[in-house]
Amino acid sequence: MAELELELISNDNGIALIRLEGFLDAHTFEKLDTVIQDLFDEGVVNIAVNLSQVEYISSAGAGVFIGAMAQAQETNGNIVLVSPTENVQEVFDLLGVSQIFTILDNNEDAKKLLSE
Amino acid sequence: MGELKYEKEMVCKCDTKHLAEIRQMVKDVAAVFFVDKMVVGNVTLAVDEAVANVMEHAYSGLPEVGQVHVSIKVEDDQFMVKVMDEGKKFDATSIEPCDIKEAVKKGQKNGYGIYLIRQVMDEIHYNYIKDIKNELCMIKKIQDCANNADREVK
Repeated sequence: MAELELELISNDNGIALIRLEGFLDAHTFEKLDTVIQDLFDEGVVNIAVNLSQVEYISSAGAGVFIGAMAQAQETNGNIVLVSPTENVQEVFDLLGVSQIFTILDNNEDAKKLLSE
Repeated sequence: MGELKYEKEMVCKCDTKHLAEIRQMVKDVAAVFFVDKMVVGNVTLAVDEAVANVMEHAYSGLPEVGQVHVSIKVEDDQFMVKVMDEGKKFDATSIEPCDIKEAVKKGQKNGYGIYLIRQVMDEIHYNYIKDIKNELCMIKKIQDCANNADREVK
């Protein structure tokens, strides 16, 4: 059964792009958290995460983004979410997460926003 | 007694690697009784949050990691899920509702599970059977369920 696939698509000029696929739940969230913390440790605080292939997210998964956003903002960074599926968007709406994140339709727009 | 339309139970060890299987079971059953896909997703989410909570906390500090029981019962217009464990006594319903906006703004990473369950389910109750187990009961009312009564669960 698919769990969570994570790919660091690019990491240039202080902007990272991550692609996720599968389930982001209490079993898998640490995988994403570790990658984001490693990027912060490298000084990369502008991160776009493509969620177009994430089938499911729970509060544990959403919590990674919520925590990462607060951390990124401490150093003028940003976390941008790209193309969440309907299921994922519903959980974001229930948590009111959409109030703190910019959510865009594609990777190019996300990278452009983060480079401004 | 109401008319029992469906009953299913799953028992597994408290390990988060089983979450996906439990979600699949809940989703398959919920899809038969709820027309709206969003409701199916929300009921699955509520059960996942309750089970994850048990897996992460119920047996922490105890000598042995126990099991979590998930039972689904559909009766009349009620889709009822019970999540049971034999770990430390814990009443999730006693948690005060959090200020979600404030928590998200502050970057709080966890503690949203019970908030989500309250958001998406119609009723939530806690029972403790003395010296035996915790039981969290979550109910979602079924609308327009009559046409689905004879459908088969995968």
